[in-house]
Amino acid sequence: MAVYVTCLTAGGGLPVFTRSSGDLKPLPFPLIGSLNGVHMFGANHNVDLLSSTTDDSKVIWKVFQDSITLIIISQDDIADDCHMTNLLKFIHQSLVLLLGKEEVQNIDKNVEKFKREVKVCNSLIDHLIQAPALSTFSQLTNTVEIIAAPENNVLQNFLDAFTDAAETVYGCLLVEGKVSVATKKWWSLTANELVLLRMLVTSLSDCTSRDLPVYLPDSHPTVPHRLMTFHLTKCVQVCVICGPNPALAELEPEVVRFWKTAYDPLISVCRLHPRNFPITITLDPNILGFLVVNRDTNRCLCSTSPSLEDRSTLGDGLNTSQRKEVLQSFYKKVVGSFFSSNIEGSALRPGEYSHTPQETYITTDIHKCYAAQTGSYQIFILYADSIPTYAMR
Amino acid sequence: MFGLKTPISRYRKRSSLDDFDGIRSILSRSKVQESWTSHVRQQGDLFYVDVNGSHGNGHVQQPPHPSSGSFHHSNGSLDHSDDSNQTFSSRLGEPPKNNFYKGRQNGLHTDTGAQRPKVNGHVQTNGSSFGSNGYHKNQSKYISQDFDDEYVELDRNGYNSWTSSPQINNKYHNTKQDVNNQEHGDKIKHVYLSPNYKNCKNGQMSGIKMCEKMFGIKLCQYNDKTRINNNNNVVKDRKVIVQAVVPGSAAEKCRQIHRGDMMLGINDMEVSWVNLDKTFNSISNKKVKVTFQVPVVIGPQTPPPVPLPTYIHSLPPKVPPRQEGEDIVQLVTGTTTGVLSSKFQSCLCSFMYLTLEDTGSESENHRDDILYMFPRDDNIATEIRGLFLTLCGVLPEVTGTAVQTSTLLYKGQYIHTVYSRYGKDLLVIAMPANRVPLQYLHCIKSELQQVMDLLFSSTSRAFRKPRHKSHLDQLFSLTLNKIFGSDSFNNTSSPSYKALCGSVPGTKSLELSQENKVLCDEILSEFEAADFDDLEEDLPFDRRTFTILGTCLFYKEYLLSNHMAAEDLRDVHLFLKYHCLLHLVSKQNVEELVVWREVFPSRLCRPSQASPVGYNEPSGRWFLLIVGINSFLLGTLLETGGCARTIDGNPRPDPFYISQAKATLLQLETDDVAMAECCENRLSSEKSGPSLASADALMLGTKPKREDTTPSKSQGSPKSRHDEQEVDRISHGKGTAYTGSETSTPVMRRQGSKLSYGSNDSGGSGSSAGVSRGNTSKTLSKAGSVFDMVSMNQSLTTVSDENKSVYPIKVTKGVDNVLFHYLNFDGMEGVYVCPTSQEMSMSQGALHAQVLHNFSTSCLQLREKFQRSNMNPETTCKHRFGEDNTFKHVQEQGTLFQYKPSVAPDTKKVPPAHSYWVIGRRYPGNRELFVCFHESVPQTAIELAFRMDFGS
Repeated sequence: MAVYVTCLTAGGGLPVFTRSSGDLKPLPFPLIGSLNGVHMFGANHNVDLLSSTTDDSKVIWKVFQDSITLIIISQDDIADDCHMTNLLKFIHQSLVLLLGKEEVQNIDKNVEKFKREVKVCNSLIDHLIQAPALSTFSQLTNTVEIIAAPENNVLQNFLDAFTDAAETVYGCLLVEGKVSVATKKWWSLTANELVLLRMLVTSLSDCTSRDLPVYLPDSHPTVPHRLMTFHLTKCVQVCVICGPNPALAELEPEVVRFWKTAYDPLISVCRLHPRNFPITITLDPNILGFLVVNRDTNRCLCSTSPSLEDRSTLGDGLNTSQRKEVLQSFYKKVVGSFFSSNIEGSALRPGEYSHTPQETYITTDIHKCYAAQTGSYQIFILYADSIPTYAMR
Repeated sequence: MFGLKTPISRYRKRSSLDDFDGIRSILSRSKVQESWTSHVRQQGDLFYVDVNGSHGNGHVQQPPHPSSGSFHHSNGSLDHSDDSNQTFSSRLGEPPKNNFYKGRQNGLHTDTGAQRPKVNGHVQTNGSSFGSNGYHKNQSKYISQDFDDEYVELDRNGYNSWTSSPQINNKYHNTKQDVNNQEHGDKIKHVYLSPNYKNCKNGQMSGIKMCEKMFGIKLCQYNDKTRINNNNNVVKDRKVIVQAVVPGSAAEKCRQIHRGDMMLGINDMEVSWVNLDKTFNSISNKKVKVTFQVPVVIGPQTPPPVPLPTYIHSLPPKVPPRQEGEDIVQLVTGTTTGVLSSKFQSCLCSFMYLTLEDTGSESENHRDDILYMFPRDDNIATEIRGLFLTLCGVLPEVTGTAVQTSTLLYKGQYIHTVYSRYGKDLLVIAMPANRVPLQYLHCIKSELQQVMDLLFSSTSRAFRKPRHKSHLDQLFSLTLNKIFGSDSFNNTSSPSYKALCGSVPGTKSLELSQENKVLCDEILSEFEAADFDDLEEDLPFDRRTFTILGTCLFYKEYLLSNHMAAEDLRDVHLFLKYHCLLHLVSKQNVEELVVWREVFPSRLCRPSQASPVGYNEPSGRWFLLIVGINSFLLGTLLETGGCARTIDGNPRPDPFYISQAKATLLQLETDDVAMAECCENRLSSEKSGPSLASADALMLGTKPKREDTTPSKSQGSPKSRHDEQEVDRISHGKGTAYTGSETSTPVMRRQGSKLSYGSNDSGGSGSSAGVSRGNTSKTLSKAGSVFDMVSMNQSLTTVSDENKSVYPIKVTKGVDNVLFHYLNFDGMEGVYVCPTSQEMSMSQGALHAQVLHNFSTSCLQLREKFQRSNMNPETTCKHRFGEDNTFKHVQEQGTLFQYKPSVAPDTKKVPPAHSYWVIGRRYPGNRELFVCFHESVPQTAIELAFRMDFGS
């Protein structure tokens, strides 16, 4: 799935940046201009042009803060527009995250300066629009992906101690980009912030420690905070958000002191990585992958290799990245048309139903998908095609 | 009789089997001007609808102004003589039983004859007031009861008494006169009009023109040729007849002048064609008194029949051809385009045809780019048309593919637009999203395109040629009417259900019993064979003008039989659908409906695939003939130029084929066939399809009291329990997958034992009447538990085994019927089956409406996905944005809806939530099945049912 994302100033239609993923030719400027032009023309006539589709692609326009217009052009996913709008929202929020709300608001004052500054966001934006097989479910479901390890309780203590030392209440432990444990305050951040912070950390290049100014888009969009990350082992990072103190240099030695004893549980959590849930739980071999979303706590758990012996190596059906793709595509098809979710606008079409859809499924010749929701939980399961349809429930 | 040049009337010896031939002959030989002849347009097109008769009683009072009544009434005297000769009619409320087409010998007085009442003296006889000036339609006066006798008599005696008929006619005339007596006398009315002098400033005009400009009264113009040909006397005698009233004119405002009125005088001066010009030019006063004579139906005392020497089409048309496209809307809906379009103004919808071409003079007229728009008035869509044009220019460059849809937000309302591009031109259709889902809009667009292609050979031609404009107006206003119009006749259908049915690309079909089906097919084949004796007689060595490519027969909105290629059927069906003709016949009986026009069928004009080697479809011209009587519609596709003669120009409707088509329809109505009755029975019979459960009854617990056990029920209940066990046993025993053979055998055996449910579909013979009457809907839903998707199978596979398909099976657990709704679509045949409105009305209720709404909304979405996976892999070229391969071949989709009853505060017990499935399944061969049923059915049983049905 290749994507163009274009950002222009809403007032003057000046292009700010264009990013693309996949092997796409860069868009010539006149085309960007006319794309923005139609939207502005409509706005002048009180008409808000939301989206357009062609045979196989979809274009979505959206204006944020009355200052920037974002246009996304991508493959038509045969799903509700809300998913792509959600992606645009994340792109906007990532601008806010790194540049601050005021900066984005006052873009017209000095566009050239903004253009230079916006380059810091490039890696995050590229990360957001990358191919579905590489990306995670976080930005899709608007929830943060977790890893359900039995060691989490132990690690919680380590984390709490460390965050105290960093004189902050915001801290979390990321294992392969998935949250293992986090402080209570960290979980109280909004879903956007959770997802974006996580994305930000994974989008940046590896380094042992890092100190980055961030604006929290929802809670403190104008006050910069410092995001500090420290590499613990190969795939584990610990992140804290704090105020002006302590300095990075002060905290660095502390890392070793606090986390050295936690090495063993960290390694065992790491081992869980592709499976993401404890080995002690066994699932039906027909299940190729699943996604559980909790809408209240903004968490989701996903696994595309639930069985111990990797079936994909046996030449049987889908490999893990394909499974991921199918699950993502299934999620897009279900949420926004039958289920609603945390994603803005996703309740529109499900709202047309007078009765709530509870379960839904799709079967194809290569796989079967099933989704159900109860309360704040939603589950999406990918089955092999050998399972009888009635047994999916 | 074949091959002999003897008038039919001399024929006595006829076997009763030849009756139909008799009808054919009479129709083709009757030297009578058909009522539609006056409606043929210059281009040879014909669109003639005579609506009424469904509730015909003695006098149909003409409503005060024509727009509220049917169009044909207002034809006044022009048609009355016809009506008096026609005998399709019925008694109040009684189904038309023995309609019989009576040979007419009254001949050519359609135009002049009825106007014959003498002028002199009329001015004095100041007849009745306006209120009673109704047109005394006497079309229903020859009614069936005594007619039966006549018919029988005919069988015995042959036709001589029939065609020479003095006694019969007299008989009828007598009855009619009785009726007419009190109304008799010529009615004169005086209307005071203020002429509009502004309109006619520029000097000399003809009287006709003056009359139109001043008063808004269009007079019947006679062909110049006829005027020259005929001598002066004829001109003098000819009456001045109102042909039409211009909307918005003084004449319309006074509401007293109607089509067909005869103008007698102006300011008490007698008017005739001789002094018309002079009279009008001399008008100068503010108020003008215009005197009209209201046409009165004249019975037998009207002039004697004038036989015509040859077929009618050889005659010069007496009534001037109408403007193209006139009246279709009015004919079909009873309102005018203007009224309709004002109705749609509140909704934001628009059809536009825009062009990107440089018109050169951009500064002069900024609306140059709009080649066509409907509704005429500007709305937001026209204001932002630049947006659409730019989008369509830009997006292909960005994405590499053409623009399909857009969504806009205007004043809090979502609006969907769809586009299609023709070179530099662009068709834009915009509709509010809450009324028309995007998928539906998409269908409307492609279907409209197909209709336009059919009618005008290409969509761009349709819009580019100004002469098609009025027709397009009508087409679009009918479309809008169809979409937005309140559907009074079927109140169960919500907008979403309409959208679902509208977007299924097929015709609703009605599955008749084998016997009836064969009968229909036979009758159609007979017509198609074109083995008409008369033709050979008259034109022994000529090639025929037309060959019949195929026919299809509709009853109400259901397809009964189709002898066309699927693409042709689709064309014809779309034509009927978008001209609201199917809707019309399903609502009311039409007296007579004749449509004739040249078409460009998509199969022949725009072949999607190359014809097989060694064979080419003959090139030629094609004509669509649609003839409707009562609730039947017969569509015929005719070809010229293939093996038939090639013709030039615009051939007028061939009366011969029309009369043959009529005969075919009449044949369906005869005693032996009584197809209408069969269809009606089939439609209303509860046993006809899978019976539906009412969601309200099932879920709300408002369970009807169990009625006394009918024999069938007592028979059925233990069986159902038995079945249940058996099904359970099978499902548990076999565990996972079934094979069709394993399961179907025992089920079929059980079906065999259930004879009381057996006689499905045989409504016509009435053999199942006892059973079906005995079961009221309630008992059926209680006791029947007929989850018989198998009988749907019957409609799919027409050659299915009778045994297997007819008997409903029970796969539901317990005694409740759990099937709420279904829809079955066969893309190969282009037909779909869904519950009839009667069946649907059985299961009504607020909750059921909600269920239905959910069903349709989700089905639309399911269908969208099906369609995506239907797309041909080779046609999809390289996608610039990558391909979504994840859901390429969707086979089945389902959604479970949960209904939680609102808890009343005083009840302690929380009522249990009910759930129901909406499932769509796609079968190889482009078939789709959508069902909606209660959750209580075990999934295993569903799987069983699905598999059994389709053997897959």
